[in-house]
Amino acid sequence: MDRFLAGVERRALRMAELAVGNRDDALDLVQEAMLGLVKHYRHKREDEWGALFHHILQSRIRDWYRRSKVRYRVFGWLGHRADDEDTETDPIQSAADPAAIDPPRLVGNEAAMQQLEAALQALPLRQQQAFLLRCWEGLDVAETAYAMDCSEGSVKTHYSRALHKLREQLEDHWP
Amino acid sequence: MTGTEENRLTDQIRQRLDQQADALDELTVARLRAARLRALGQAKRPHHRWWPLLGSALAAALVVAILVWQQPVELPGALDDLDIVASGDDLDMIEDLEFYDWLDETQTAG
Repeated sequence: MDRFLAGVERRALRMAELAVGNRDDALDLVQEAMLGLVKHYRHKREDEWGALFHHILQSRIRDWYRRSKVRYRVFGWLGHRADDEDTETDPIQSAADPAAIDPPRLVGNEAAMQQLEAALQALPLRQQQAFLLRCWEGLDVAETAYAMDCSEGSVKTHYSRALHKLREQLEDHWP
Repeated sequence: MTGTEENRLTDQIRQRLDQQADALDELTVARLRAARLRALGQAKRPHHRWWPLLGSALAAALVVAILVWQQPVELPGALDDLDIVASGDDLDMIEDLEFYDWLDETQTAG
């Protein structure tokens, strides 16, 4: 279990950080996911831990967005974006992105990193989750659907839209 | 987008993301390690919590058992009545108590 968590923790942190926009909250979410996995699923087969871990992590991220939604309603000062046709009113789908950078303005290797970061952060949360779990974490469609708590068809749709948007934002500036 | 173009893009993205993850600062890496150790430690804690509780419960049960075992048994008075009720002859006598009183008075008068 220690070896598994050590292997996944950095990617998990980056995923959570891209989703929630700050490192401290991301660290809390990753720790909660680790606790949940160890507490409830440590006796499961090792090859199931990846999907189970990300199921908990993505669930915690969605909870984080729900809490943000409450804060938004109460205080009204949190950001909001509605850049996806099916996510106009759902804060889980349309994450606030105060640190968004316009990708075309950036150049060089470091700039490529920032372009990617900005492009990923600009994705609606579900597209971002589907893309990172499939492309980076290497989960298959069924595992990604379980991690995201949605249907396999939704995973395919979110992934396809994410890929399309990333290509639009990155193709002119990446080699 | 063709499959080749898609693969090229996703490979590049994966590579960049790996670079970012590998380049995390030492403080963040240490915090991750601490979080991991805390999670792994938390899993062991419930087992340790049960033993003192179970031990205390067993010790208390043992003390109660010894006290009950060593206590002299006193039969309550109701058990005397139970003996009478259990004996069929005595019960008949109780039911005919008035007859025995009359017989006693008659014998005394005689």
